[in-house]
Formats: sequence, structure tokens, C-alpha cells
Amino acid sequence: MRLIKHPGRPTEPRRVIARGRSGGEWRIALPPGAELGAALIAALQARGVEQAALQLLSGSFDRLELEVSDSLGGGPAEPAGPRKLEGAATLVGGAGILGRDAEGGACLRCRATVVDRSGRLEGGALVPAGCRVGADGLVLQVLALAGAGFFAVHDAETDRTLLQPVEGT
Amino acid sequence: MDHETQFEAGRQGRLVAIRLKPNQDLVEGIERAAGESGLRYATLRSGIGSLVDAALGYGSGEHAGVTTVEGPDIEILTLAGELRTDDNGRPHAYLQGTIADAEARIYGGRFVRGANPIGITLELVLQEWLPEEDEDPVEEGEELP
Repeated sequence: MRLIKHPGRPTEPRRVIARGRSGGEWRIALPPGAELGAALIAALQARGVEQAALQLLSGSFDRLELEVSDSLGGGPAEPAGPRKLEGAATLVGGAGILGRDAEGGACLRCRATVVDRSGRLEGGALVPAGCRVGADGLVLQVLALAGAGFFAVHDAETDRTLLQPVEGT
Repeated sequence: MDHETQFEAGRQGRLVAIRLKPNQDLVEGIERAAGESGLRYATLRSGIGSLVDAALGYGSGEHAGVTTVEGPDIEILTLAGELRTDDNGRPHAYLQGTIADAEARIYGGRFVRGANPIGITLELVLQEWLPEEDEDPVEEGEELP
């Protein structure tokens, strides 16, 4: 198994675990034209949900922005902008986690696999503010977390801001 | 085929939020985290993260194969599956999903044990499954072997 060297020293524990319980579960259908990030966060905040595990179940997008990661393998120093996909894209599957950032705001991380108009598979890390729901709407299963959650913190090992599980939320 | 459909009654239990740090295997890391959380049975409710390299299995028997994808910068797009306790009382993970490489090519299959090192992070949520007929339920706070 090939390993990778990060900028910082490995930190313990290697598995961070926060035990909690269900805070309720919902099926949410976002309407066509909705912006993924704003619509989803508003819908959940209206029900007091600040931490959640998300499953993207069905639907489509008519605009997608996919993050292009700053490479672990020595890619360009200046990260490229997001990759934009215009036109209908049918959801194959996806997932997300809703946590909190350092200022207490919502922090939404999503990944999805879609198939575009030509039948080609596409996918990546979604830019929530750059993704617009398509004509089929978008259905998600939302599992709220109680007593545990994810908070975005700087990770010294990777020198990135990452979601970290925390108990007692 | 003489296999019978199996029906297991049960209910959902605790939730566990997990982060796996870099350079540990995805399958073994999830199994260890489940064991440390005292989960004998669980379903994966959400998971996002990245891999250094990937190995995805498909087919079975003489038709089995493995797709290997060289990274780094492999994004995990979908991750689904469950954990079931094995004969030694340890959680055993059955996980499959889709990934994208650095050129946005998509691959899918079963994550092969010992061959999918975490790149930057894996964040996931497991939900405990409590079968009605579990003969050896785990107490709150107990870790598995």
C-alpha cells in the first residue's frame, strides 16, 4: 500500500471518534432551480438541524461546479478554479456532511456521481454555491446528529481545514 | 439456486461520527473505528474523503477482477455498505462505491481490503444496527476485540 507524505507530522489518534445519537431523519426534496448549498442549509436550519449526514438519493442538476483539489502529487502551485458542467446531469449517487465552521456557520461538504447529457459519468467534490438543481428536483435523506458532530478545524498534519468529529454538541 | 432470502428484524441505534487520518486503509480503518465504538453491526450513512491509490473489486469466483487506480488526488464520491460481526466478534466491513481520479475519470466497485490508503481524510457516519436476535449485545462504552 503506497503512502503519502504530508507537510506536518502524523498526529494521534489516527481515528477520531465521536459518539452520538439520532436527532431525527427527514426526506428533503429541493425544487428545480434551487441552489444546492443555500436551499439545503436554509431548509435544515429552519428545523434546527446544524449537524447531519446526507445521502443524495435521486434527481438532477442543470449546473455543477466541481472542486479541483490542490494536488498531493506536486501539481500546480496555483490551484485551478472549479470545473463547471453546464446542462442536465442526472444523479447516480452522492453523499454529504453538514458541520460547523470556526465562526459557527454551516459547513457543507458534498460529493456526487452524475451522468451528463452524453451519457458520460462525471463527478467530484461539489461547490455547494455553484450547483443548481435540475428539472427533476433533488431528493436527499437527512440524518441529524445529536450529541456529536463535525467541526472544521485546521489540521496540522495535512495543513488543511478539515471536518473533525466532536462529542457533546 | 437453493439459497433462501434472509430477513432480519431490528432497529437503528447509536450514531458515530468518525474521521480517519491519512495513510490507513479505508476498509480496515472503518472496521477498527467501529470496534473502538462498540458497534457489532452498522450501516454507513455518509462518507466523503480521498485516497492515495484505489483498488476496486468486481465479479466473483473465476470472473472476479480488480480495477486499480493510481493517484494521488482520488476523490471518494459515493461510499455505501455495512458492517457485520464475524466469527471472532470483530466488525467486518462490506463497502462499495464510486471514485474519481485526478482527471475526473469515474470508477466503481468493492473497496479491496488493504489497498485503499486514505489520502487527506475520510469523514463518515455509522449508524448502529441492533438485530432483535443478537445473542451478545454490546454494552454502552464497550470496545470489541
